[in-house]
Amino acid sequence: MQLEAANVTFRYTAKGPAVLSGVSFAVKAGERVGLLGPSGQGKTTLARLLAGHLRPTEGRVLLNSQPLPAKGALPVHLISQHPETAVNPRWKMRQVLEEAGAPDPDMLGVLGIEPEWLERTPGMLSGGELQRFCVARALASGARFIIADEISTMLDAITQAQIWQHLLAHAERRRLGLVVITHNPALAQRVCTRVVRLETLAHPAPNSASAQ
Amino acid sequence: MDRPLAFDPPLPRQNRRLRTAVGCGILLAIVAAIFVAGLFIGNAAVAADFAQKGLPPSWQHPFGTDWLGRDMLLRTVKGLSVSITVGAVAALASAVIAIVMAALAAAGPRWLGGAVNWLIDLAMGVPHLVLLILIAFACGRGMGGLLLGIAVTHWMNLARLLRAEMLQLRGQPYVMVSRRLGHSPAWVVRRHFLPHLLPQCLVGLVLLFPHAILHESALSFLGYGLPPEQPAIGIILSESLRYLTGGMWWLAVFPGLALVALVILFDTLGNGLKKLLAPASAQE
Amino acid sequence: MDINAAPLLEVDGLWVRFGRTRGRFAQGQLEAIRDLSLTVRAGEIVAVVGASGAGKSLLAQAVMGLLPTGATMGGALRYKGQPLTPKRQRQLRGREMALVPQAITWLDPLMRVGPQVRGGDNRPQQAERQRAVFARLGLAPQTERLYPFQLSGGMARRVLLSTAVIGTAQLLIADEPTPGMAPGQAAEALGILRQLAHDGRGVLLITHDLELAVRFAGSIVVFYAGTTVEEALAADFAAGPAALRHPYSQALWRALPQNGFEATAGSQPHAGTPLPGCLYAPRCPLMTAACTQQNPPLRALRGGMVRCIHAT
Repeated sequence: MQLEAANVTFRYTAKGPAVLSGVSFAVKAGERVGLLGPSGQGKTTLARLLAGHLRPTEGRVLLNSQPLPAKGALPVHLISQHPETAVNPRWKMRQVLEEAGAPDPDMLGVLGIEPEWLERTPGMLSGGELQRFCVARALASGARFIIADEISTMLDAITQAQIWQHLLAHAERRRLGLVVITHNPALAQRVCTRVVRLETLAHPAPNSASAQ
Repeated sequence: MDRPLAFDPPLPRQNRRLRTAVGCGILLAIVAAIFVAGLFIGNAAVAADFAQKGLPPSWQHPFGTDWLGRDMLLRTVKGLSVSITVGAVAALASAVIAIVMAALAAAGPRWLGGAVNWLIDLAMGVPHLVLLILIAFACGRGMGGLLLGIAVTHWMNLARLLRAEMLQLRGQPYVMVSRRLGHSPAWVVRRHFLPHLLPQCLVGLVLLFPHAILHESALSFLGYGLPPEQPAIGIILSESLRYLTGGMWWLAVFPGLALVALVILFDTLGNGLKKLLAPASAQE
Repeated sequence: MDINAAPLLEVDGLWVRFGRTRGRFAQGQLEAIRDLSLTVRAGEIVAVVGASGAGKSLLAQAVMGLLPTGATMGGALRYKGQPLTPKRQRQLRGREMALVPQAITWLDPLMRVGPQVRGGDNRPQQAERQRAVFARLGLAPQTERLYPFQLSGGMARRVLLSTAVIGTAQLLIADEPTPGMAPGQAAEALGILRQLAHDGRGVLLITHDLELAVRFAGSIVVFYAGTTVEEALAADFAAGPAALRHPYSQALWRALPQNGFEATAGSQPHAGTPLPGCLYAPRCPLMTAACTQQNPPLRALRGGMVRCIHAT
């Protein structure tokens, strides 16, 4: 299995500047690819393109050489830096988890999710606690690829280690493909099988070279 | 370690939600009471009684009686009851238009969104009362034209609000996640959109009431609304004009005050509901 | 750090509680900060480090007198030795104590940057000071004529910091000043704060990022579930777990990716969870029966402070 961005360019508006131009990137099952680079260079945009939250202006995102389906379930799941926007503020955490399928009680225990948190709404939990739910939801969704966009940047060191240890164990066991976006080189070294820098991925397409 | 500071900490604002909820309940009960009372006041109760005609306010007739000897309190309550009915139907129709428009604008193709926006701007640009009078006049005076007129002149604000909310929701990461988990658009709308939008619709609906009631009265007062045999507040006020010069001030003052009170009541009710339903104010 | 410098800010046994909706109507009391103590002296950066939900941001609000309505507080707050009453907080806010603004949205978009930093003071001396501050922060002289939208990210950060620098505030409070910044940018922003401390101001840095705190602060206050569990020199964290006092601080150190990436099980108890003994006991490798009796008091140990009966 392979998830691939083939020569993608992205603009928010037809005439706007290109956030990404001519970027190619691929991740295979069982691989954990670290994506480093300065902020504001489109790492998050690439993450959203790979997860099907955005569609590229030019180029294609391919899953096993097929374009991503426009609707229906996608075996690619994005976990973002801000878990508080990734859960419906009106729902109980139990509903948030069940949206992706029945949660495995053992997994909740390992992720450090206390049973009573399930009955709370997101406003009553801290960012670190919410992020555990987002990881649990990503794993319960049956996704084959997980895009982790700065998922532990806002968390303290222990919570960061807990979440990553768990994610790594699952990725290993199920041969998931991971894209790890981070600012932290030490973290990338810990969790990734290879590391690339965003600026090395772009080979400007002839028609978008002037955009930036 | 709990050494107190040199000042008294402010009292925690507890039970404010409970107080708001009780207040809303009381207001709702008043509205229901007026409505039901209006239904029970038969035509016999407001039949002409020339023995009692033109009496100023007294204990027996708190709002006085008119030139036909009818009790003004009973007529006012019946008038308010009619106003509530008209307000409810018109506000509901207006809200339905708003919801349909907003859904078209947010979920439809881009050109449709533009068209709805244009329509909202157009409808907001035309003065309310002029459009109302035109529609009511074109439909011939009576209930139908009045309801239609109020419904098509009051949906814009709610439609604009709902459209903005829908667009904002559509871009929320949790809605994106839900879609990519494979849930159908209908499922996403039912589970993510409606629970967020319904409370707003409800508040918008209640806040439409006072407008609808005032415009109904205004139109009836001007003679384009309800027919003169209806005991509406607008009719009562319009009739009273002829007798004001005769010193019968109570014919206009009490029904007028009652109308203002009803409008304020709906406004308070709407704002109270808004506070109760908005998650952001849960701490207050 | 100059131990002999007079303390600017002393926080002693601070607690903050607030009402919170439970269910539809009932509102209960939550103890968000249980027992927090720290001291900031002129010329140093003190970092408060802890997990989200530990009550760090409430500390800044409590010191500035900006707690949300419904919050109650107690314990002792002193500024330059005098108690901080609400009246005194109002007097000192912005003059003696200032929050370092976090985002460009704090600036008026329709006003040029220079006059904005001068804060409505049109005297020539103030313009001189503003130019001196800009020069020190590496901002070109023509920057003062730009509008906020014309600033790049790095320039905006320096302009925001210059609003804190130009003021007379002796105590600066920076609450999570770096999220969203690349490591280089974060280092730059904190480098400016360190410069300010060198000039004799006191800085209270509130952050979840231990590495950043170790790099830039003089001393570090470790915060867990609304209590101070350890006060240490940043050098102790640089030296490793043997130099640290509290098991939680040691666990934090070991969890860093470069130090073992060790994930201690469990999570911080929520505000409102009644725990009779030490708040860290359920996760602690040193836990004994004595730990569940009462929450131990803060005590001095090896030049720092610790809230643990087993620490040696």
